[in-house]
Amino acid sequence: MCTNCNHSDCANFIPIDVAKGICHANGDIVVQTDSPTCERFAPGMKCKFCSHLSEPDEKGMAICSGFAVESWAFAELGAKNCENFAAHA
Amino acid sequence: MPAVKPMKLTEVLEQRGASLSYQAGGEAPAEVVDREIKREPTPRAKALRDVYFDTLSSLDCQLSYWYDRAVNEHAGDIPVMQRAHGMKSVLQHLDTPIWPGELLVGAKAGYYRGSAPLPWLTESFFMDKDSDLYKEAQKTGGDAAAEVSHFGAGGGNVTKSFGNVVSVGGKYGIRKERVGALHHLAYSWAGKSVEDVSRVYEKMVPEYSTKEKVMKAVICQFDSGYTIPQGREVMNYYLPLEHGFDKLIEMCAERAGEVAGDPRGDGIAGMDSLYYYMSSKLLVEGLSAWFDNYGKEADRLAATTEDPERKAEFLSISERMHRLAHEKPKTFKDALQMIYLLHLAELNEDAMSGLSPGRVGQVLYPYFEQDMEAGRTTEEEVEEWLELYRVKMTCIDAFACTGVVGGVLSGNTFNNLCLGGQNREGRSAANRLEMLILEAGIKCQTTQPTLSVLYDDSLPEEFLMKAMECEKTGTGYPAFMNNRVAQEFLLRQYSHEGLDITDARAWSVGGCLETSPGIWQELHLNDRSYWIPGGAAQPTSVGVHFLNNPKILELVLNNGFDHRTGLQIVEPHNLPLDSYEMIWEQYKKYYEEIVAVLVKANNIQHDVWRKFTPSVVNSLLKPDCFDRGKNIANKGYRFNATFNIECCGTCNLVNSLVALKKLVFEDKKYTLDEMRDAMLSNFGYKTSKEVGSESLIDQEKRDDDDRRYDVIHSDCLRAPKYGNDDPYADQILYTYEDWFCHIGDAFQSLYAEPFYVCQMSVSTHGPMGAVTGATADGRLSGTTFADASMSAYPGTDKNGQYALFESATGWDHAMSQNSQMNLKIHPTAVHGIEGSKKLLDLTRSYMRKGGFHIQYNIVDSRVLKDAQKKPENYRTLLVRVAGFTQYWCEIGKPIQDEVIARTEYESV
Repeated sequence: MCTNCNHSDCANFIPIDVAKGICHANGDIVVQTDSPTCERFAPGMKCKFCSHLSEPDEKGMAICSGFAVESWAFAELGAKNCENFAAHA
Repeated sequence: MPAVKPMKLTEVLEQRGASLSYQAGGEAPAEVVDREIKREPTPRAKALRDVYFDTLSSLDCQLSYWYDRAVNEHAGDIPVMQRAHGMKSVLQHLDTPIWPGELLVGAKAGYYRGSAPLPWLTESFFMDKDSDLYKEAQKTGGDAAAEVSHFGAGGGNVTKSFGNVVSVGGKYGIRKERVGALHHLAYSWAGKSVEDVSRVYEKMVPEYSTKEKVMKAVICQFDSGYTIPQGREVMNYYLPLEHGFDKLIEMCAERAGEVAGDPRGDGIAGMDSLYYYMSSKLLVEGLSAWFDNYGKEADRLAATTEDPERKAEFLSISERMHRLAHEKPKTFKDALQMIYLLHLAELNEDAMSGLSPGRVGQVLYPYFEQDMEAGRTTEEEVEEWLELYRVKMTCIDAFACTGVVGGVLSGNTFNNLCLGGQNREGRSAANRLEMLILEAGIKCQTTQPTLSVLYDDSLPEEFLMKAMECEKTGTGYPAFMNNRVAQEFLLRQYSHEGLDITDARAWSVGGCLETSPGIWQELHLNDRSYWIPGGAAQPTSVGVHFLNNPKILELVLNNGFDHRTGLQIVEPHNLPLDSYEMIWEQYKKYYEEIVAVLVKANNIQHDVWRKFTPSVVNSLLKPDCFDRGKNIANKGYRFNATFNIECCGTCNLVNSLVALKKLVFEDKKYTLDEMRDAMLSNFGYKTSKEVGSESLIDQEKRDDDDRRYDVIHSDCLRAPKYGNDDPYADQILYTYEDWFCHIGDAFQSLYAEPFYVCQMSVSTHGPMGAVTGATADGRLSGTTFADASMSAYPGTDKNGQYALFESATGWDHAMSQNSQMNLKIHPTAVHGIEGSKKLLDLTRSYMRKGGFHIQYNIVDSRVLKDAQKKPENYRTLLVRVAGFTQYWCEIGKPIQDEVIARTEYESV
C-alpha cells in the first residue's frame, strides 16, 4: 500500500489509458488509476522512484543525473527500459 | 401562446411542388433492416477488441522526452545523425507493455491507444492557450480549420477534462501530472520546430499574405509540411524480412566504410552517404533493442504468471521477440510480428495518417505457404492472428492538430491493406491468405486495417464473392480500386523515374485511396524465392491540402472578398461577369493564383522538414535508399514525383456552375446580382449553426423571412444536377476535370518533380462546407458538401446507380491520382447470394467503365438516425465515410449528418 501513489506507480500495473489499467497482481482485473492501491503495491520503474532524479518541483519537473550529460526529466516518466534506472535504496 | 414552429426546408419545397427525397430506386421496407452478414471474432480477439471499445485516446510524453534528450545530447552533430540518435533512443526506452491475452505485441506508446506529441515538428497547438506563442501561431491561420472541425463525443475521444485527466485538442487525454512535461517540451522546441522555422521562410514568398488569408478563410484546410509530412504511402518491409536486424547492422557498417570520404561522382549528395549508413545503423540498433525489450517484458510477466497456459504464451512471445531482435523471421507469426512493429516504428517518426501496410497477404504468403506445408500452423490459427492484427492496427492513434485529426481524419489513421491486383507476370495476385484476411475482416470488424481490393478482371470469382460477403457486413470495406486505371496513372506520372508496366503491377493504396507506386523484390525463404510487392515512393499525398472548390467560386462571385471573415482574400478582379465563360475563366485564374502561393509555402515547409527531421525509418526501408546510400532528402526513394493538389466539394462546384449557366446566362431568369443577393441572404434561411445541423434537409427559415427567395431557391435546387446522366450538367464536370487534372503540370515540388491532382474529400467536406455560404446549386450556408468527388449531392441522383456511373465516367480517371464514389445501399437490395452477385455486377460495371474507386455503406439509414439519438447503444457501429471506416460515435455530427443524408438506394 502506498498512500501517496496511484495505481500507475505500481509495478503490477499495465496501463490501458489515462484513466485505468490492468492489475497483474490481482488476476488481471481492470482498476481505475486513481483508486486506492492495495497491499500488493510494489513501486514500479518510474523516474520518481529512481535515485538519479532530483527532488521534483510542484509540476513534477526535476533533473536526471543518471547519464553522462544531465538533463531535465519529470517524475512521472516511465523508466522500465532505462538502462540507468536505480531504485531508491 | 404557443411558439411558432420554424418552417423547414422540406415544407417550403413541398409548397412549391418539389421535394428532397433521400431514397432512390424504390422505398425502404417498413421495418428497420439489420446488416445481413454477422460473425464473431475468436474469444481472444473479441476480448482484446472489447478492451479497445472502452479505451480512451491517451497522450504519453515518453517518446517525446527521449527523442528530445538524445537530440540535445548530440546537438553538435549533423542533423540526420541527431534525428537517428533521437529515434534510436525512443526505441530503446519506450515502455513495452503486453496486455492480457495478447500474442501479437507492440504499442506506439505506453497505452493501449496511445500517441505522443512531436514538438520538433509542430508545437503551437498544444501550447497553453494563454501563451504569446500560441496566440502568434493562431494569427497565421495555420489551424483556422480547427474552429469548424468536430470530433464525436463518444467512443475513446476525450472531449472534456475530468478528474486527473486533461483534454488536449478535443480528443486526447493526458494525465494532469504530465501536463508540465508537455508544456516544457512545447516551449523547448518553440522557434526550432519545423512549423516555426518554415514560417520564417514562408514569409519570404511575396504572396505570403494571400496564403495567410486563404488559410484563415479555410479555402485551404491545412499545411502538410509540419502537420502530417509522412503517410499516404505504402510500407516496404523487405530489408528486415530478407536479412534480419543483425545482418542489417553489419551491412550498414560495411557500406559506411565503403563510402566514407568518397563522393562517388556526386558532388552534392555523394558525401551524405556516410551519414545515411551511420544513421541507418543507429536506427536498426534501436529496432533490435525495442524487439528485445518486448522479450524482456514477456520474461517478466512469465515469471509472475501462475496460469500455465498464459505462462507458455509469454514464453513463446519471449522466444520470438528475443530471436527477432537479431534474426530474420522464419514463420508467418514471426513475419506478422515483425511487420507490425516496423509499422509502429515508422508511425512514431512523425505525426502520420495513411501509412498503409500494403499488400500484406502477398508479402506474408511465403511464410503462410511454408508453414501450412510443414504443418506448423492451421488456417484457424492464422485467421486468429489476422484478427489480433486488426485489433492492434485499430489501436493506432495519431496526435496532430484538431483541424487535421478532426477536420480531415475524423480521428482515423487510414492504414489501408490491399488485396488482389496482379502479380509480377500480370496474372491475378489473389491468394488463399487474402481469403483469410477477408474472413478476419468479416469476423473481427474494426476500423483498421481498412481493406481495399485492387480490382482486375483477372481476379477469381470466388475471391470477389468473398469480398462482396465482407461488404455486406456493413463495415464499408473492402473498397474497390481500379487496377487498370491506377496503372495508367502511374505510367503517366512516374515513367520518367523509370517505372514500367511490371513496377506498375506492384502498386498499392497509401492512405484512403492514394495510388502509390511500388516495386517487386525477391524474398528468400528457406530454399525458395518469392517476388513480393512493397511501397517504393515518398508520401503520395503531400502538398496543397485541401482546396475548397465551391469557396473559390464564391470568391469569384464576390470579387475576391470573403464575407465570413471580412477579408479580401485575393485582388478584386473587377469584371462584370456578364457571361458564363467569364466566370469560368476567372475561376481558373483565382484557383491557379491560390495554388501557386500554397505550393511555394508547402515546398518551404517540406524542405525544412527534410533538412532537420527527414525520415530515417522509411529512408532505410524504401527502395532504393539502401542501394544508393541516400535518404528521402536526397531523393533516395525510387519514386519522388509524389506531391499533389487535393480538392474538396467538386460536386457542389459543378452543380453551382450548372445553375449559374442555366438560370442566369441561358434562361436569363435571374440576373447575377439577384443570384448573389439570394446566396448572401442564404435564401432566407437561418445559419446552420443556429439550426444545429449541417445537413441540408434540417435547415429552417429565418423567423423574419418574407419568402422573397423561395422561388429562386427552388429553381436553384431544380436546376440540372450532376449524377443523372444529363449531358448538360456532366459536360461542366468534364470541362472542369480536363482543366483541373493538368493544373499540377505548371508547378514543381521541392524535389523538382511535377504535381498531380488528388480527388477525395476524406472528412473535409464537413469543415469546408461550414465556412462556405449558400451556393447556386441550392445548398444552404454552412451545410456539408457532397462527400467524395464522384458522389452525387444527397438526394439529387434520381435516375439510379447506372445513370450516376455514366455521369461519373465521362472523363479519364487515369489523369488523376484517384477519384471517389461512395454509394449507400439498403441491405435488402443486395440480400442473399443473388444480392451479392448484383453488387459484384454493379462494382464490375463501374470499374469497366473506367471509374477508379467505389465503396459502399450497406445500411438502413434509420439505424444511423437511431445511433445519432442513442450513441450509447452503438459503440461498435461502423460506417464508411470517405475512403475510411470509422466508429459512428467518434465521428463529428456534421459528417454523421452527411452520411445519414446520402441517397439510399433501395434496389440495385
